[in-house]
Amino acid sequence: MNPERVPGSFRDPGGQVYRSGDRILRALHGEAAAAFRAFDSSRCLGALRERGFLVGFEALRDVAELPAADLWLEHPRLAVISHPYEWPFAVLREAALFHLDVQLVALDHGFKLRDASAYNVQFERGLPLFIDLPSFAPYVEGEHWFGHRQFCEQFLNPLLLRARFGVPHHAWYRGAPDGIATGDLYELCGWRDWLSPRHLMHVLLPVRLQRWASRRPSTVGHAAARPLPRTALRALLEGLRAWIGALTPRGHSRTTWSEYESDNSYEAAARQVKHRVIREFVAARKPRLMLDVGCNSGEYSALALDEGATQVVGLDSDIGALDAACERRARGRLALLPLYMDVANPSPGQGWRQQEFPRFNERVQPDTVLALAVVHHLALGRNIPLAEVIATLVSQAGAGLVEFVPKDDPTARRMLALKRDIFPDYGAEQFSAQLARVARIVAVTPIPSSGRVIYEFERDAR
Amino acid sequence: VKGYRGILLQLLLPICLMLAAPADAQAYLDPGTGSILLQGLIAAVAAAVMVLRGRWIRLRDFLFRRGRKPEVPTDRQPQDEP
Repeated sequence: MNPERVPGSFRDPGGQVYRSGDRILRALHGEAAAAFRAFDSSRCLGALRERGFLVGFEALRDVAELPAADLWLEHPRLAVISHPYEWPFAVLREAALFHLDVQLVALDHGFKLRDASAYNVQFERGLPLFIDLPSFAPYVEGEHWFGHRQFCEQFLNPLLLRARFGVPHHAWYRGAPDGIATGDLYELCGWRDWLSPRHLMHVLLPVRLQRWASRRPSTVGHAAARPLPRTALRALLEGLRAWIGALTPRGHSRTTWSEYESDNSYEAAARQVKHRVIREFVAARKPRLMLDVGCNSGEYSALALDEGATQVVGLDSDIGALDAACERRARGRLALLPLYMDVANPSPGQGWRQQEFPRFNERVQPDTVLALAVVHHLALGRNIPLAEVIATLVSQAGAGLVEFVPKDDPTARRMLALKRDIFPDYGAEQFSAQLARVARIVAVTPIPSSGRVIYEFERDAR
Repeated sequence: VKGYRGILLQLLLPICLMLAAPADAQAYLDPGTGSILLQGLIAAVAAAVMVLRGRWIRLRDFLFRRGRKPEVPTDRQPQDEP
């Protein structure tokens, strides 16, 4: 075994995550190892496990080949690691409520969370999981919630940005992966927010108090020394839970593509053909992880899950479409994770050495890909050369379905309405030839009376 | 009364001072300072509520006992008469 430390795992000196081939290991040292042993033998662990809140783990006995540590754990490898700046509003809200639920259960059993990082919540088959076990430590009566600021910046503030101001959090959060600073949100607030006790408590007061105390350093010590009763801490967590649970996304309810499904140009027969192709593909391939590029409201993702796909990650950059996909996910309790992603600008590697928050393709490695009605958006809408679009989509997974949309299709026409047709190399023949250069074409299915064609491909082994 | 004034001063003074502070004061402290101060304030409010509650209970007991004392024998008297 030759484990390598995961580059982004360095903030906590008490423990680090390692990778060895497909195995995920965790080293714990000193106090962190002792705290984990206390947690491991507590009722808290049982209560959290009973609710399915925690990632699995096993203590390793044979550690001779591993670097020195007081305790080694092994975790199951998660198929998807996603980041909060990719989560749509509803998923971020679900993660926030989940984090608070974990804290409340822990507090009832005499434990606390040492931090409130949104990156510690991950989604496996559609359900949230808490993955950072060394975050649990015994709760000492009277101590403050040290993760409050982090919780606000990584969960609450991005949600408020959309719920209060109608601005989606993705771009801002991606540019500030540690979260949206409360001081920045404060600048957006108006007099109305001073009348809201919750805004006052979690956004306005912390900023004003911090500014007030910057000239009176001794006040911080006095405040920190004042014991916060457990009932007050509980009320703080429950108050946040009630508030966040009632937040709803503002604006973007009728974006271009959220209505695509209901008013798109398909005839019923064409739709039937498309559904049949997807069903046959999924039934034959039995995908463990499918990537639905341009998932829109998740119609085809849901179809794939219904046909037996284990889980689907859907990508879209349309806020309204993502909201619709989240509704579909919640309604059907689907193993679908819709993510905000502009395929022409996917999440890059960022943070320390650009490795702390790895790029999207390192975190999500699907076995199959659906790219239906998406090629023309990239080739005609974003001017990306057709050959590059096809090569990039094919490189996502070993097999998939990719759809060609002709220039005279109503959606393509709408795209070209305001720009000159500068795409002489965009056509059915060129599409098929480019696909054949990078993959083996397994099946070709024309969609009746539309000029659209769905190709099933397998990645060329050459 | 002196005790109540103390509690009020302890709670209100920092809030008044804070609201009067210029909003553009340079925030050079640890970014978690605001959260810690907020929780210190909540802790102070919780402590004040506990003190006020204790005093209210004492006051209530005092008034209650003084008000009820004469009532108890008069209630019982008719039953004891025969």
